[in-house]
Amino acid sequence: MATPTVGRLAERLVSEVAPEELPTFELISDTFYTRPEVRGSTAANLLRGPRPGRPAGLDPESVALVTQVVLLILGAIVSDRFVKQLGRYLRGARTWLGQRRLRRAIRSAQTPNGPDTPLPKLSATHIREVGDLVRWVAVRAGLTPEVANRLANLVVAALTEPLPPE
Amino acid sequence: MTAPAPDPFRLPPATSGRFVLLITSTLASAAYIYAWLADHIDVVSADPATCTGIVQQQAAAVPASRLTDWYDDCLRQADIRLGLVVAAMLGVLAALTVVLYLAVPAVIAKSLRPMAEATRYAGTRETAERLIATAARFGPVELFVATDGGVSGGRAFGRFGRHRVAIGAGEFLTGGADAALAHELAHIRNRDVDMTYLAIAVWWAFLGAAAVPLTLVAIRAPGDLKGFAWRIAVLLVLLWLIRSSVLRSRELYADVRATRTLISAEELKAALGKRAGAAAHTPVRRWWTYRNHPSEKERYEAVDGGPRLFRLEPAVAGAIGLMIGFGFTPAIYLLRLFVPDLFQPSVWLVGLLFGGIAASVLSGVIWRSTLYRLAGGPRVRQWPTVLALAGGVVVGQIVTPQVPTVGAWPTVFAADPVVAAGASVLLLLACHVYVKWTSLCATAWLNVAERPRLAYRIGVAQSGLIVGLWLGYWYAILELAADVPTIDGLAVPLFAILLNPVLLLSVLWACAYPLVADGARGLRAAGLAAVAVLLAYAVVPIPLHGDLLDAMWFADAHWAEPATALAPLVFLLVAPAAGLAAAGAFVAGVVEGGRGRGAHAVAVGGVMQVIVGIGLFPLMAAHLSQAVGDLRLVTTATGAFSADGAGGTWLLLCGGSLLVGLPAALLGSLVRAAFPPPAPRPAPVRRRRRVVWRLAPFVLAAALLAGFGFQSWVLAALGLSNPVQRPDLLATHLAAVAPGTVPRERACAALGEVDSAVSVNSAVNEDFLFAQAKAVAVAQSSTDPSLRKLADSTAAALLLSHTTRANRGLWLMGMYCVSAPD
Repeated sequence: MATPTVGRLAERLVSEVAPEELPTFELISDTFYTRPEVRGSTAANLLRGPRPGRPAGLDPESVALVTQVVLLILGAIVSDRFVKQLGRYLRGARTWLGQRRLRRAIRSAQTPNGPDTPLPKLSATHIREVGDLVRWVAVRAGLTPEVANRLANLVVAALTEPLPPE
Repeated sequence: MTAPAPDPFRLPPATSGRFVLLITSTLASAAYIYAWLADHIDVVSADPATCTGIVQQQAAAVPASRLTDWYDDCLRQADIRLGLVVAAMLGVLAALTVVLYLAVPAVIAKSLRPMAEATRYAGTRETAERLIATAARFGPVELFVATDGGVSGGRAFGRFGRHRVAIGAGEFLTGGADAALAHELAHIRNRDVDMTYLAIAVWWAFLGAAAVPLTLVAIRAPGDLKGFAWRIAVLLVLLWLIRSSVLRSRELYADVRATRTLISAEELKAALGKRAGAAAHTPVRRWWTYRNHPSEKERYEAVDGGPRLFRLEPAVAGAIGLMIGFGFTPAIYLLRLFVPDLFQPSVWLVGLLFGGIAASVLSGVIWRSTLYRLAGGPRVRQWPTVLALAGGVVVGQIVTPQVPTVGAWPTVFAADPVVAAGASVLLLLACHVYVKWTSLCATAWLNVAERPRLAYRIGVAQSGLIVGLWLGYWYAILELAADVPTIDGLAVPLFAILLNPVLLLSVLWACAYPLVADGARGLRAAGLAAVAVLLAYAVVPIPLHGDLLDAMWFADAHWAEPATALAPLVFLLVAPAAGLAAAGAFVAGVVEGGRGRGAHAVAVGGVMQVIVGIGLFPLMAAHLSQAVGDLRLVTTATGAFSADGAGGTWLLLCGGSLLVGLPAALLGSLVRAAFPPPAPRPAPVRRRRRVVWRLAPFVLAAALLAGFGFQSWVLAALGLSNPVQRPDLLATHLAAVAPGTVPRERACAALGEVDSAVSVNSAVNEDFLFAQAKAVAVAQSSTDPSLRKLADSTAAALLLSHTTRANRGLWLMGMYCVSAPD
């Protein structure tokens, strides 16, 4: 059985939740893993919320792609240090300062081997917290609560059971 | 049914002017903050008091004129030091702006991938290759793809000479990538990318380099910010709203340009529709972004050829008024720190700057709305725009912090609300005339122009010139009204317009400019009416020659009171002229005016009056010569027909003719409007030679007015053209000196009351000069030796009619009074 990696899980999640995004998946994930500054700006763009100071282009709204949300979340939860602090981050996320702390933690979490980084083995408590994290990030990034819930359930399921063989 | 709008690009889009005005106002607002901060630097703020202290120490040892010159120089140096500190702070702001302007595109590009790299992936290859090909056809532009969610549509950015476009990865999936690219390339073609990012850089630099030091002061000494903090807060909010409005305006032009060049309106609307649907669930975010972006409804309307880009929107006028209100006073303040003597030129210089930029926006909008009206669109109500413009200027003045050395509307209001209301009414009238006149020019020229864009550019440029002159003069009126908050304080500068060749020539230009476009028919009417008036004036006063002789004897007998002595003579000469000029203008108004042609009739009346004003001069001289027998007697007595006095007389005659002629022409037009309109005239045919011939009398008259008028004006400004009519009386006032008998406080109070003597009458009969002399004499009697020395020097200047030096001396004494320790 192949080792479950974040890259494989990300592709699977996108194909299940937003299959229409598959044509751009390779471009986006490749850029995400190979360029650290893109990872930072993805976190900033998805998690910052409204940006009144920026002149928009054709599009009056920044609409997040499921791909970017998935990459961001999986990129964060492979960090052992991040997962250990996740409960505290989520409890503090009711305040502006706590949200800011969580955003910074997501941005700075490392994915050492890019898409080949193996999925972590997490405790039941941590898996539940990761589910909450997925909902928080997805809604903040602009996805609907339904999509956010579905994504959270799939991530929790993937972390609970090993990935099926390819 | 609404008429279809004409091509929006028949005239240039009025976006650059908005950005320049925004940038200028932001910089001027920063100057306010820096001046306030500089005032909190002890070394700089203590300079005037140091100068005064040295004057007090040296008074006994230095002659009066040298002491005055030294004190003057010391205070100038203090102002220059303060100005340099403010300029240095502005330099930091400018440097920060440049750094941000250059850095922002590089920072944005850091998180993007070149579009060429997207061709490596199977899922994006086809779209990426198509986009690259489209961009290559457009011109030199770097193309990127954004994969980080920062750009889900498109974004044009860059700096001068290096433009870039990023397309969001999401557009590869929705099929909107072509529309996004077309829209962004349209921004580059509309040349608004550079200005947008410059405006944004200025804004952030302003926040960093102005608001941060202010916050530090607020933390260290919060009490110092009393009355200042709320103004800055309101200023920031208003500047931000205006900035967002400016950013929104450019999007519609980009949409329309895109549909004219690269994609169809349907494709663009489809892309917009998808985005609007996708974004509908985030209302807060939508609100924020709509501050920088028009709504879909507005964008659809513009793309569909609706009149949105041709509307005369009061909000635009209000924003322009606000920006003038914010920026004008600090700009004057800063300029005057370096060149204190150049009061009038500095006001005009800043007036031209702000007037020019404001006109480039508002005149442009008026021209566009006129273009739509000429294409069959509805007639636009102009009053809301006028009210918004005037209201914006006043509100901007209220919000901006006050500077003690520069007059402003709130200062006048605090001193006398009636005078402030009067100044506001003047502003409102000026704004009304400006909007009407610009609309007239646009109608006249767009009807005949073979190259509308050129006509637009010339129209907007000359409009900026004229608006700048009058805007500057309105601030000069405020300046005087702040010192003399009485109705007389308003009346004096209004009367002075009649003696100001620059303003008179601007009126004449404003009248002639639209008529030149009108196939010279208006010019012919003006010329004929002027000749008729002059012929009538050659005859009508003949029966009054006997009375004129009596009036001369009366003047000779009552010369001690020049104003009274000359009154009958002036009345006998001027009353028939005024009556005939008014009658001629009224008839011209009836002939040329009618419903919707009031502004045209006034323009005809204006051109006519300058010819009348110039022609009256030799006719009056001839009547006097006939009545008295020898014109030299009159010339010697009044100076009005001498070589030096002719300029002033001509200015007064032309100004007076305009004063009666313009309302009379408008009245004639109103009378004509009550009757059924005549059959429409055939379209004017402009023949260059005919226009030149019909302009010839006007040009000759204007040249005479300019030549002699400027000579008279400059001499008056230097105090050389008006030798004192009653030197004995002046000497008597100045001789009433008893040194050491008047306490300094009383002497200073007497000097402070001089301004209350300002009035038109006191200027004509020299009472104001005598009031100055009396106050100087009181200062010469002061117990304070330094003040006495300054007063001695000023008295000498008054006796020699050195107006500039005398006024400066009075100002120095005022400075001494406020800065000398008790």
